[in-house]
Amino acid sequence: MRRMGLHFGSVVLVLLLFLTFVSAAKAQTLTWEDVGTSLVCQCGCQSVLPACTHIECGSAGPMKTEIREMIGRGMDKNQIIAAFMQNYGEQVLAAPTKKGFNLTAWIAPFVALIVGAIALFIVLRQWVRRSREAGPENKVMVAVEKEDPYKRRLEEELRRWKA
Amino acid sequence: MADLGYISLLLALVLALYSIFAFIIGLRRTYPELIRSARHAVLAACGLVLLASFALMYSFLTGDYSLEYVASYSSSDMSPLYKFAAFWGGNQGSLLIWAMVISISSAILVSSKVKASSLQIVAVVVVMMVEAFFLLVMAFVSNPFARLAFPTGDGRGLNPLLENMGMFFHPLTLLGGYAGFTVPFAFAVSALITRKLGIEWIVIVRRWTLVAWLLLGLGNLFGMQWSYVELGWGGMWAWDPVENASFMPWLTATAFLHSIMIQKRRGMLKVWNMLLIIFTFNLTLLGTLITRSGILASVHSFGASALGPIFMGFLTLSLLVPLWLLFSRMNELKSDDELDSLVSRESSFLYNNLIFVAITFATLLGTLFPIISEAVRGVKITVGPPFYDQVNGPIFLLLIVLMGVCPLLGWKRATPVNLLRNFLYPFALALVLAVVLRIVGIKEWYVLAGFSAAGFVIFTICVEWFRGVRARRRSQKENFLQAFFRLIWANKPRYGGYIVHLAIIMVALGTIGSVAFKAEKEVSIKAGDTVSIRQYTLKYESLSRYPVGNKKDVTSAAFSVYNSGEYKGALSSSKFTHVNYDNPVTDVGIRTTLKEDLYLILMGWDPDGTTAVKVLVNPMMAWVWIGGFFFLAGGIIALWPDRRSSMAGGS
Repeated sequence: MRRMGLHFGSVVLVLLLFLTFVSAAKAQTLTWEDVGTSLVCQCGCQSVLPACTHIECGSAGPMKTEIREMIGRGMDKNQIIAAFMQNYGEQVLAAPTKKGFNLTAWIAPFVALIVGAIALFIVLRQWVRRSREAGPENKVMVAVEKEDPYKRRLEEELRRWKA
Repeated sequence: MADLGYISLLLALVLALYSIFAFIIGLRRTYPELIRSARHAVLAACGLVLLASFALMYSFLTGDYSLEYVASYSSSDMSPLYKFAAFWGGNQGSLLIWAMVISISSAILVSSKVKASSLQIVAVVVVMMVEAFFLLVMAFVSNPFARLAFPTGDGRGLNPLLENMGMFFHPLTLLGGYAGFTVPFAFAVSALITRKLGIEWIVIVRRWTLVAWLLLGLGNLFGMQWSYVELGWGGMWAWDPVENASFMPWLTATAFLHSIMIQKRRGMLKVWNMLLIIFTFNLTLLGTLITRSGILASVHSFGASALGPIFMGFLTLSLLVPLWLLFSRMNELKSDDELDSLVSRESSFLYNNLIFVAITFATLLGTLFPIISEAVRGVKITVGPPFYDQVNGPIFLLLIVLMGVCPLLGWKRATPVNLLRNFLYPFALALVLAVVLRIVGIKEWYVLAGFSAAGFVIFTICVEWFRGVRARRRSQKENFLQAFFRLIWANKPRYGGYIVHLAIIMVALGTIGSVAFKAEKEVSIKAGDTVSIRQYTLKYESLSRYPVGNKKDVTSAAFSVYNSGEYKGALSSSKFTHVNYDNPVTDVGIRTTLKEDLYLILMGWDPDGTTAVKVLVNPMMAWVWIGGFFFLAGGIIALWPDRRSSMAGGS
């Protein structure tokens, strides 16, 4: 079993190295859609720019033209977004900026998840320790269920049937 | 008829209030006659709510436009089918549907032939309190039978966006799911009040929760499909506040359905399960608050109304009272058992619960952050898809991996042999899949990780299924198909669960595929021009305009579709304009295959015939909807009564 584990580990390592070191993607040409997914249309539809297909929308068209012009002037995605933020305010962004108070929205879920995972690990370890200290005689159930309960039931029924 | 409807609502309210007091006094003073009378009041209240619903339906079908609600959501030129669906097209009707589901649930609860325990009676009292709240709202704040001061003789008509088959499925399943969580919540509160904190309430609520969870899940899927075909933006989920509101209770309910298995088997997680169901119910109320208060902008909301503060008050009450009860019973909610190992199905379920709650928290934070930002900084911001993709995406990935790990770990303790035996091949295959995908040219890490994790789950389920079938074939001498289906039938909750897992994986694959490999093109063209996207060429044939009835106009752009030069048929997209509504509605053209959808949106046209269209290729979209069918099938199998457990009194 140990040898099998070692072989398997080696194969995993080789595959992971392959995944890590194969050449990275070439940079693609920037399109207005690439930038538009980070911006919200200002017609009140609350959609990201490429998703606003409303005939009555007076904002999406000029915004798209503006982005195309900025791309034409050689601006990159971050520069275009910064320019839009300056013109329209923070509400033009499809997601909060990653600085200042807004950072709490980005970080809080991951902090909660990590803190929760650590707390859960500590609680689980306490439970396991208490269980070991209590010993098997004090437990409500002592059977270690390694196998599928369905298979066990099936085997019991077959034994009864054969008997 | 409308007056009869309103009187029915008032009488149902009186009876609901009577049943609450009669149950409480009957239970405290051991007065069986009063309890029997209260049961009859519950049944009568249900009958009256059904009568009120019938009266509103009758008013819609017969065109009683003197009623404000009927005049706002229907008109004489509408087909009877949509007049029927207009019932739940607005605020008042959807509240009536909610009350109807609760009243039917309460009637089922009191109709049980089993002698009612105090747990059951108090649960009915809680259900009736919720029902009374909804009746009170309809009777005095949001009356579906309110009359217009100056009737106009005809109605405004249903919002054209709602004239879609989705209108028959999405609102009903969603509202059914929302209202369905009232019963599990009521039993949790009842268990806290009566101090019957064992597994009795858990056994009762499992099936109720499963039904509500299934309905809410289907409601979300129907909503996604509706959004995809009707909103005309090319996607199905935009992380809109109202979409989030219906997603959050589904997440916590999924966590609850997993963790009650541990309480049922081991007597553990009593406090956690209470918290999950209390929050699930309150998240449904929060969803209602968001949809009806106008506090957050959404394309799905009913618009601002006076219901916001009322729902806020009720939400505060239904959150704080159970939490206070839970706190006061903390000493009685200690676990019956301890954990044997850090690596076991129990511990993996707990981590799965943690992830569900983390996604709920992230979604709630994202939904409310615009309000928080405005309150703290005085700056209006938007929290849209890029936020959720970056925050929820990685957490979802963890969830998918755990989805593969959890079912194959043994209860109590997973040994190294157990781990190696169950995970060796699935893990190796997932890794090989990642390498193959990388070789064929997929470079985005999230696509590689998502597809490999999904592959891992599929492989673990297949391995587990294969072992079960092989065991049956050997022991029962069955052929492969017999063994396969009897395996499912012999353990419905387990294999129903696996099918639901497969469904979620299909939805995940469809979602990742449609985002990662999407192609889109916006063009302005004239008749005879072509537009090419990937292997498709679309030839613009014509633009036509025609009226539908006397209130709607349709402008339709027709195209011929060629796939790698081969003619595949016609595709068209239209815009509907309604005289009573400002904004036109898009009817998109979709050509679906298992590989991808070709999606056409008519955006606009000029008098000279120049037409603006958007064409998208959305890969793997069909798998999302196929996943929906699997979700339904798995849910029904898991829900199906087991003869053995029914006979034993289990669920």
